[in-house]
Amino acid sequence: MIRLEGIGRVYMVGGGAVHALRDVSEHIAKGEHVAIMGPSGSGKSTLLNVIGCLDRPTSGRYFLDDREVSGFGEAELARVRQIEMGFVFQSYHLLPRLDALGNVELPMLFAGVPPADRRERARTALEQVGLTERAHHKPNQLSGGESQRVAIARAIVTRPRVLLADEPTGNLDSNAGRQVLELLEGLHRGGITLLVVTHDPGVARRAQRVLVLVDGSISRRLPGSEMTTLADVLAQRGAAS
Amino acid sequence: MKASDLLRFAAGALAGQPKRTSLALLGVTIGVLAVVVLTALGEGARLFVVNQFADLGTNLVIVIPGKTETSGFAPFAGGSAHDLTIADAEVLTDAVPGLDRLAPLAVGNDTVSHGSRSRQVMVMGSTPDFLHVRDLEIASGSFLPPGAMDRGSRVAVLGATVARELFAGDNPLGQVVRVGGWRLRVIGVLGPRGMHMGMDMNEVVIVPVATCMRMFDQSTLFRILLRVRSPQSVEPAAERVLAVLADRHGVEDVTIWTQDAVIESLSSILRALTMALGAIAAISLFVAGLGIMNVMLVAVTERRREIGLMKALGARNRQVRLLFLTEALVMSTGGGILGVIVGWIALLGIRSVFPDFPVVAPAWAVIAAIVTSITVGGVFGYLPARRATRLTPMEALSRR
Repeated sequence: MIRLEGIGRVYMVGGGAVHALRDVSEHIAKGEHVAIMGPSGSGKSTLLNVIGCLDRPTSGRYFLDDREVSGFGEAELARVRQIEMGFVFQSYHLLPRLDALGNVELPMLFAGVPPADRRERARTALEQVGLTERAHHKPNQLSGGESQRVAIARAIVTRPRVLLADEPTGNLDSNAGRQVLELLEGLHRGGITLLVVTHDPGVARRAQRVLVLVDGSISRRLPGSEMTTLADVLAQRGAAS
Repeated sequence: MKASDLLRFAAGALAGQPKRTSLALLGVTIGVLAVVVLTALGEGARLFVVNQFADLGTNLVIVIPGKTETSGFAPFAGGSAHDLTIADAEVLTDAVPGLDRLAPLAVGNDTVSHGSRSRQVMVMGSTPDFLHVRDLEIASGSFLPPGAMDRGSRVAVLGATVARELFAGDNPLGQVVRVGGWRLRVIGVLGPRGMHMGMDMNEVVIVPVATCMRMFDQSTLFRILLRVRSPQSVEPAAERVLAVLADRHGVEDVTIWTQDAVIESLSSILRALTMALGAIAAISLFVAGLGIMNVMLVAVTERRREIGLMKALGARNRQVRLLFLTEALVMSTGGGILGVIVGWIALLGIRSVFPDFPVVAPAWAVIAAIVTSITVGGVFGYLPARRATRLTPMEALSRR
């Protein structure tokens, strides 16, 4: 479903070029659960952002099904984000002035869903993440785990095909983190394609496949079950080569 | 996105930053308030002056010695080839069609005294018809006696203030006042009367026209005032006056004022003044617009992550711009309406303090103020919003 061909992403920082991604080619099938790992600055978030159409590659081609997304304009990209993609961020990114329900309604506001439908679907999504009672709480009245679950409800309320999570458990304690992961995995079992960026091998291990990035390139691909620690995995690669 | 969604979202965003929102609101409010109040004052000044001239009495034709080169105001001194005389006035009495009343007017300044009291006054010389031409009232006694214009008796009619101050409650009728070297018998007192073409009719002494010209050794009248029977008669009367006097003097050497022309020229001058005041006030409105822009710029910078999030959730750039534009418009429209309301209250206040001064905000100024505030808010709200959408969602989301 997602096909990357020689994707590169170069940032201009202070007159110098920073290669966040170099010649990344990868295929991700529909319904896969893939973890993206790598040391800080390896480009794992950039890769996720490119796949989620939050960022544009500077070279290479990106196909979603058979449509070449890398050639899309602003409006078409917005539509892809609106319909196909759901995002979960490490720091939740909830609007503090809206309650949980309002935050979940937000993507449908831009999609032009009628208000009554919005409310109904937002309630259903909150129910899915088990936060029906918290519907009218503002983000500052929610715990980290609850906030992330609201963010997940917001991501899935438009019924996207791809769910992209950037360090979804990064700000959470282990208990809340486990709840969030179980929620994401439940959604995956429901058929959604799940991409998770993480630095936690425990999180990566739960994925079907792990992509390990080093310096903007995919350095290793391995099944989730073979995931140990990042250092180990990279050392094995060093030994292999 | 629906309009109701936009409005709710914008209102929520504004309510989320009460201090910043109220400051920007205040700026627009003061701007609109300035426009409303300043133009109302200008318009009030215009109406005040126009009313003063309307007080002259309708259907008035005024003859002024001397010819002005351009239409408009006549010179107050000099430039006349021939004097405007009492004989001229007498001839006009019989020559002008549709004439109702005619009063020659001579004017001088001197000190009037009675016993130990004295004060500086304007001395006006005229005829009995002056009372009607000028819509004056007699409080006690009688006005100037009828008789030939060139026969001046030594009598005087006092303005209300003059009578009060010289006689301090005593009856002035039959008493003698001294004006310069002249002793005049008081035969009447005018009723109280407000300002009148810049002359306070309470502070005058009125004497027969021939007396006045002798007192001040004058050879020419200050004015000849003619009142005609109907507005339609004004124009033919003015033409006839010009023709008769040109014939008598051998040259066209007088200027004719009609009330309409005077009011029209003054009114247009003062309207320009009102507009100038409005323009000055519009600058404050523009500054208020800059205030909105500042607020929106800060909002855009502070809310960059929110913008990134909106875009990540599928918002198009157009929608994001629309949201910020709506915020700015809600703010500027709110400020505009508030400004008009506060301005209206301020005008009520001014009116209660100065009841004689007709302060009314002209409709065009109110409409222009609201339209300007909305336009300014829209433009200055749109610019930062446009900037807001240039970043990719990722750039906007990442805190830097």
